Amino acid sequence: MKQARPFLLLIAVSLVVACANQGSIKAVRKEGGPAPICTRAWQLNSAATLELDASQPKAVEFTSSSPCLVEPGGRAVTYFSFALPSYSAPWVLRVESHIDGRALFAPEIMLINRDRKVSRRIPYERFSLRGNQLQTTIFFNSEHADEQYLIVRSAPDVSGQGTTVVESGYFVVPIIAGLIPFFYMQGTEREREYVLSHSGIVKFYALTQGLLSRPGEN
Amino acid sequence: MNKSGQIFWVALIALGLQACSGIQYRALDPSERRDIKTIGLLTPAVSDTVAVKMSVHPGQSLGMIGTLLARSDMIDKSADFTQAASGNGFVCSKRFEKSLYAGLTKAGYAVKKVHVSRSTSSYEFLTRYPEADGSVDAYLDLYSDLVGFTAAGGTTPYRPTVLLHVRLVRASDHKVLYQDAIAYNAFGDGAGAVTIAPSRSYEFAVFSSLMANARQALEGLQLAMKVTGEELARQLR
Repeated sequence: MKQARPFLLLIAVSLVVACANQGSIKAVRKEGGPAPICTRAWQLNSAATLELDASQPKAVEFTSSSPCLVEPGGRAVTYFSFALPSYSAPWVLRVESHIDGRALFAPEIMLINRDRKVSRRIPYERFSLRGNQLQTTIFFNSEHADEQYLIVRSAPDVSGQGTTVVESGYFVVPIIAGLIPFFYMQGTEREREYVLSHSGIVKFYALTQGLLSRPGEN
Repeated sequence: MNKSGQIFWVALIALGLQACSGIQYRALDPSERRDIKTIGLLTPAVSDTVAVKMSVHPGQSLGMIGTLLARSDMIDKSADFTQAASGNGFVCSKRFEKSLYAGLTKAGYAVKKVHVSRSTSSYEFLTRYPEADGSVDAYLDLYSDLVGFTAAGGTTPYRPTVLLHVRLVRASDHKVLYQDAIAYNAFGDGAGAVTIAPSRSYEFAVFSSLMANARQALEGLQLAMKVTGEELARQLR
């Protein structure tokens, strides 16, 4: 067992590092300085590229200085645009909005075709809460081949709404009593408040593979 | 290294593996959803035992014997509450099937019940599905290994809890069109499941309070089932 100790330590450290990396963030846009002047039309010329099967998700941090648009009713929304990859085979886009402090970006998505018209809308209501993130999956098939841009914007109807959730978890305290170590475990709860917001962190995973398709794959 | 040292390392690795695990899910492609009009609702795997569970029981801190005692405590409490539920005419599997049926109908599907035999001891997806006979477009395979009341620990309240695993397979070729898990009152982050915050109207500080207010508690559990069924319907729209 003594010889196996470094090996076990290596496995334990690898697991911790591997799991920690799952949540790493690579912000592709974070502007400082004064808030931009809101425009009345989407600015698609500066759209970022979206790469299929990238090793890291694209992460966008929405802040008060992110691009914004004033809607006909006078409401302002923050947004970010992507140029979609040219269609050659079906692929999916998983979008995750993560709680950042007390803010949770309330996303809505629009797909824009080559005529610069909105071809699809994925409203906030199509996102599902999974723990501390809102998540949805968008499918791209041959019928969507002419979609060229994706815009993710804050949902004005729900932004500003606050929610309180109970978060449960546990802690473990290793205790040495004489020669016998044991672990004291305690289940815990705390209330957490967050606000659906125009700012926050959104991650994009563009995938051509990895979709479950047959029973027994899991 | 002594025995306790070995246990420490095994526990550390197990924790690491647990941190990586999560449910595997697949969203429903709207273009495939269009072809699904009638769903064959396979007999769900749902226990009639109303579970009473403490996610982290104080006994678990006391080694193997403590863990066994904790397990025994939870089995006894589950049996006691299930008896109280039966006394109120509550049969878990039937109520749940009704909630799911209502949710699917609300989502616009025609639903046909399809009887399948399942193992009574395990809760998992089927490994084989019925051959298509043309009466349904897809089969909905459901199991729930947790319907009841959970508390995070010894000092936190019991709340209604439902954990539902769902898979939709196309009848003609058994392709998985959708797979997910829905957790009402999830412990922790829900391990990737769609999570639904529980109603704060049904909280019971201790087990004796749960037993003393069984009727109200069952009302809360029915609400949890209904909301879970509605969430499934929302996912399948």
